[in-house]
Amino acid sequence: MKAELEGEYVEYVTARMSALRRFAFLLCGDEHRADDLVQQTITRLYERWRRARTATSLDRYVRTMLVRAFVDERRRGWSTRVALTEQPPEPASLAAPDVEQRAVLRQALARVPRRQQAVLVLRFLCDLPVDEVARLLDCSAGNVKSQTHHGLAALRRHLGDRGLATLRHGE
Amino acid sequence: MSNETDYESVRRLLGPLDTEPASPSIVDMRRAMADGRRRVRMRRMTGAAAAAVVTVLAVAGAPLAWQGIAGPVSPPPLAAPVTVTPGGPTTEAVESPGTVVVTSYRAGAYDYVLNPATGEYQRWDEPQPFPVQRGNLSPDLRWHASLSSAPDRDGRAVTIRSTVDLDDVRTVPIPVRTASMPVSMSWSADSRRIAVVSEGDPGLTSIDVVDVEDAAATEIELQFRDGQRGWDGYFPGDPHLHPTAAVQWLDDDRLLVPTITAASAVTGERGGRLPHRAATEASTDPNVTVDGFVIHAMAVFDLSGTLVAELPVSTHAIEDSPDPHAELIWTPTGLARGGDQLLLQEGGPGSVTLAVVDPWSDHGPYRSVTVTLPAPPGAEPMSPGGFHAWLPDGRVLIRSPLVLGEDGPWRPDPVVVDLDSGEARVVNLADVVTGDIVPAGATDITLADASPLPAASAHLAFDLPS
Repeated sequence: MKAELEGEYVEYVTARMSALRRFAFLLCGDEHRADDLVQQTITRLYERWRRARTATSLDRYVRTMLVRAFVDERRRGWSTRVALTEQPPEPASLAAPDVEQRAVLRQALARVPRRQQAVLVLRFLCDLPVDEVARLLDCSAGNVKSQTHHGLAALRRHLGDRGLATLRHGE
Repeated sequence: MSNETDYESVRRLLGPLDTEPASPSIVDMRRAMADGRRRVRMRRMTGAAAAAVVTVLAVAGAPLAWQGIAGPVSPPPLAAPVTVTPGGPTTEAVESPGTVVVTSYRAGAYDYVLNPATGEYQRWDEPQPFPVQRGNLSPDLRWHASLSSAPDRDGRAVTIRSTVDLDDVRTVPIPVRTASMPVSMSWSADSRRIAVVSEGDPGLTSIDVVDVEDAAATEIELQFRDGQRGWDGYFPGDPHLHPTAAVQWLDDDRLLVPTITAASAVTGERGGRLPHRAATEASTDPNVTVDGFVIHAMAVFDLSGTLVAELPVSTHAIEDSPDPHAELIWTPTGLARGGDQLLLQEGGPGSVTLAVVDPWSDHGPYRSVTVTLPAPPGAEPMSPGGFHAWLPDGRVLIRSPLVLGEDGPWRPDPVVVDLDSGEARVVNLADVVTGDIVPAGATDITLADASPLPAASAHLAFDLPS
């Protein structure tokens, strides 16, 4: 890649790094996986920079890459996503109800099909309109709505009465 | 909690997740750039090998309109032939103005082929009577190989001709074994070897590998697992114009072979949508016609024929998926490779569906894109469109169907697909392949990755529009 193009890439990625990481974090809820997703996305972006830089909306192009990396991750071997450690995880602090809420919610959301997870996060955490979510996921607006419906139903199912009670308690 | 789905209530529900990452980022932009460079190099080396090089395209709206153009556009080739070591270091990489190059075209009654060492297009005639488009150019663009009858008319041979010295012609006989006939071939990424695929009965059990420098062929027995064989009839595109082999090279010394078993025999329209009707009884009942096989895996062999890896290709992987494209089921009508991705396609007269597979994943296709192909009103489709080349920038070039117009057969403009965004657009070749490169009215243009071009011909590279 020419130095001039490479300079543009560095400038763009540097400026967008924290926004991309937050976007990835909202999608997957795990800092390390968010870093992996961003790393994967900006690597791919570098490969395609010559053309990507001419995209009508470069931010949307990159978000699309990141969302698809997240959705596709499901179809890879699940074992690659499981980090085994010798020590059991630290128990959540009982003195931090918001942490507990997050854990309950994230655990339930993680059980929702990945594409539906993406729809819920993009619509309700990233505040993206239905049409934009449809563009990012390369599907129709109607499909986004139905995925939203199914995703919410699945989320509530996985939360169960106990999870919902925990969330209400925190309100 | 009720079933309310209004925005605010859901926003409240998910609100606790709206937090900032607590730890500092470990994303490494320099590593991304280094990895990106490496992947670009890999794709240029290997991606082109499968697809690259023979990309037969007719210039849009120019059906058979080249009568009267008799001579080459460029000056004749250099008088002194250029000596080339097959597969050896070619040239120092140069920054070119684009990513693809025209490697050959037809004008008048002749084909013209690029001499990459000089940047000139030279007339392609005797002693190689075959159209350039009927053979395969090597990834480094320096060799052209075609299948032909053996010199003694008994059997088949691979004829290899240097594009930098048209007098350098090498003929390598390929043994014709029982119930087999060499039908297709593919180049290794380093342009040193050619895998020659012969028809099996059914399926492959061995292939021949031609060493270009030695001008000799070696048979390699493929050590499949019990009951498995390779699939020999795996043509991405029109086999009459685009003889791409079933067997493809993963790199310089590993081969990728589509795998079948007797249980994967199918009857019904070949190339149609799955599920085909299983024809497993075909092995015992001669009255059951086997029209094809469903490939259930891609096997990787080294040059000793040892099975080193296997990629299951399961249609269930997408059938079970909530993906809205899940109904677009893969059928074994095409295969191509770009970098670390395999591409499967389902072709038809009006559209093509592409599915991307990670060769090292234990799952099947994980992303698919459907492309609507240009269909001029009043023109009758003659052959399906389909995959044509994996472009150096990662996009896929789709050939439109050959159609029959009032002036004869012609092919509308190709379509370029971005698999990341799902975006597809028609490329107006007449706009991008200018008269500076080929004469007006030229047809049967072939394109290839421009990265192997030396400085002398780097100026010929151009970009297909984004």
